[in-house]
Amino acid sequence: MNSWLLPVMLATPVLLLLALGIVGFVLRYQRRLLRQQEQLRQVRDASQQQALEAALLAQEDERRRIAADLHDGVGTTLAIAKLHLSTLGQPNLTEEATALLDQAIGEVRRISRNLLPAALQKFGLPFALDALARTVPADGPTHVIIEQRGQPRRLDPKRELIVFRVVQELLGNGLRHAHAETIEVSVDFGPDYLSLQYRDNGVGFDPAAGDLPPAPGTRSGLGLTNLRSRVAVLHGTLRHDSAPGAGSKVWISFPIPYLPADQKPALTTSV
Amino acid sequence: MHIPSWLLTFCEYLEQTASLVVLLPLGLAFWRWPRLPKTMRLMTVYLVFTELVLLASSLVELYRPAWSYGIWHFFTLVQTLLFFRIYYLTLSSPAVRLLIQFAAVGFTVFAFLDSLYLEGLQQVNSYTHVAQSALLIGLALLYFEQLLNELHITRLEQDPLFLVSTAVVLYFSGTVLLYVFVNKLSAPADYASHQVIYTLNSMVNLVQYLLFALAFWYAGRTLPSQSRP
Repeated sequence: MNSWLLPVMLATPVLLLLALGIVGFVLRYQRRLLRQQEQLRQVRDASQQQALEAALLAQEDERRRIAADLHDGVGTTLAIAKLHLSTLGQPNLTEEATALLDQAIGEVRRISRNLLPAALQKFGLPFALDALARTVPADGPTHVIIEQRGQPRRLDPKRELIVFRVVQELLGNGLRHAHAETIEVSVDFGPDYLSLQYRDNGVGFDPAAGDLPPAPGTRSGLGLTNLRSRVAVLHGTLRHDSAPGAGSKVWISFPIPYLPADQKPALTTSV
Repeated sequence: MHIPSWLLTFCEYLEQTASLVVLLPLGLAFWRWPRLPKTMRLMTVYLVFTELVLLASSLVELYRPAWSYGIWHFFTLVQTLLFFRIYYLTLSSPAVRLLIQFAAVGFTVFAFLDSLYLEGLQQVNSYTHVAQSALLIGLALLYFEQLLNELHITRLEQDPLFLVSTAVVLYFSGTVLLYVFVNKLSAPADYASHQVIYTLNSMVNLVQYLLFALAFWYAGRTLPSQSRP
């Protein structure tokens, strides 16, 4: 047998092992890089989430400040002005001015209430939702139904405010743009989730045309962007279905830890 | 060193098995043909070409034994150029693509030089084989580098070209030494040495064809991937 054979037979497996080692290294290194990339993505997502949450909370803070200024500043000044008018003792001359002041005071109260729903802070989401439904005139062109299912419970105040804003935005968008006869919002207080279903029989919109300016008489569905941001803060999911002339449906679900029945949410919150 | 006769018989069987295993990737290639990407279609062409050369080689052995080595010299050249084309289509870097074009021209010139002047047509073209191994292993490593840079495939073991490249790296690193020494080892009188060489080649070939079969199995399927950064 040839003397070259043995070294070749010994060296070949070594070379094969080396080749296998290279392939194994590539596989392992690729997995590690993918893991690192995934971790990086998670950190980026978390920071984006934090930024979004901070922006929304700042917006709520600003609303609260404006509401307080309106109520305590402008509202009080208007009330004092009305008082001064009444001290003049000439109701015939001041009647019109008093009526205008009453109207202005009412407007300030309404704006202030919209900016910071006191009912939400004091009595919680179920009560605030009922109050929200009552703000829509019953004899208006759109009939609004807000239905609550399951066992209505209190949530963490921050979550309550976000859920309330979502319902408010859904309702506001519907009333402004849908031209619907009926808007139904159903709030389901599940065991560890809270889901919202919105349905209207209005003009609908083309979900694919979100980036284009809407044609006259149609909706662009851009309000969904704000909704998505709020839903994302609570790690919720949002689905929608609409077509021009076919009304709109929106399904939102949040994973929500409810507060125990014996625990009341703190009235003063950071929001 | 004495090689027992049972081992020689085993080696013969292994060699025959390895030549039959090629039917597996070929069968899968024809089955999946409509869904195969261009690179895997070229792989199919390569496998068909290999089988045709095997057939031609058997016929030439019978009728014109003097031409036998010439056929395998031609096979080495076409095999290399086919792999060059596959990697040309796969690697995205313009510089590497240009390098492949130059390498293809250079390799063709060298292969002719080796066959006509350096080693001649009456023995195995071991110089060409060594150059082929170095170039193809290099291209496979460049593909690995591209995979690690892009990171758009999450399951490498299901990427057809990763499997093909693994087969290339294993086959050519496992056989390069055999081809370096083949002209010294396989003297016609030394049947045992001859058989051992071809057995080693068959074993690596077997692994190569199994990896090709896996590559064809996964080709055309939607792999879990992530968007390119």
